[in-house]
Amino acid sequence: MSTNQQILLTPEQQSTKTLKRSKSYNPDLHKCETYWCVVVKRKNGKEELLADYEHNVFPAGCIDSIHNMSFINTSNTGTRGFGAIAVTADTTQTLNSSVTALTGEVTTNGLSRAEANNKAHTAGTNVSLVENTFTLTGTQSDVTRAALFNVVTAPVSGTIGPVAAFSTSTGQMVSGETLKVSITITTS
Amino acid sequence: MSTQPQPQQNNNQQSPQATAKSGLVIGGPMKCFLHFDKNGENYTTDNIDEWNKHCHDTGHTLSGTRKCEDCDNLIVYHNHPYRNMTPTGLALVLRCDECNTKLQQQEQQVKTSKAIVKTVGKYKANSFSDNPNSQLTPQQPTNQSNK
Repeated sequence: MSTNQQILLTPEQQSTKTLKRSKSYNPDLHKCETYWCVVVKRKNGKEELLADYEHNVFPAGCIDSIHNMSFINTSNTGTRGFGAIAVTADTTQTLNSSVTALTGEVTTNGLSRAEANNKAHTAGTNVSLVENTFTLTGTQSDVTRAALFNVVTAPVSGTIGPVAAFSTSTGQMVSGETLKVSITITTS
Repeated sequence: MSTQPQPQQNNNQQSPQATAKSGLVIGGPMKCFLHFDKNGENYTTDNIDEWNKHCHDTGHTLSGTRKCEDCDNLIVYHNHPYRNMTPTGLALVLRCDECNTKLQQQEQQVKTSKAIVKTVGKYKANSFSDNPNSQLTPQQPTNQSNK
């Protein structure tokens, strides 16, 4: 019988099971954020700023997808990026990290969910931009909120990404007017 | 006697209300991983103007996708010189090769038309100064022989 038997701890036993922050970690800086600008251009050429870098709500499902896309998936056929923009006239939905869909998503009048026509990342920074211009083909009243999705097909499909409410609703919009949604995304 | 501490104004920590009013300051930081501030920290700011200036001055580049300004073709671009972020989006206009060629041809035609107008105008002006009646009464040929 050996008296020098070495007792080995399993990785689970070795772990302290706490996240290890880097020295430069700052809880005020290390976040994923989006800031929304929304501009309506009326038929008379006048532009109205409805959202001025409004802060987002970041749903939990989006965080899961980001992790899967970035670290888990083993092929590029997995979940795609959150580059589709949807809008709604609803004001009743509670926006928090538990949201999984955009209530009352608009699907007509040129405002149906669309692939953002502009996406850009600034190299060497934590900043990206996603933006799209919707051109109305009919009358629509009071668009109030918008969200990013990872599927273009609408509605009620894909995972909802960051979502934001405008400071001011669009009011009545008519055919020919445009709604431009620009999202600044910071991660670090 | 006790004195209440006065709230200090800090431009880097404005309220959401102040943010909305200013239109320039956002609620979270934009961070550069390539350049550092005086304290040796990564350059960080909430201010869109300052961010634009930083990225422009230090030669940051943009990569992404964007629809052609004229035909909606999707353009993929890499390492494009930085363009400013604005509330109405990124200040970047791109055209696909086909539309760019068309635009250049149209601009060339406009230049040519302007040049022609200028030449004709000059000719008319010269004609008028040489012979005020030249445009009203065609000159009769003078070197014709009667045979």
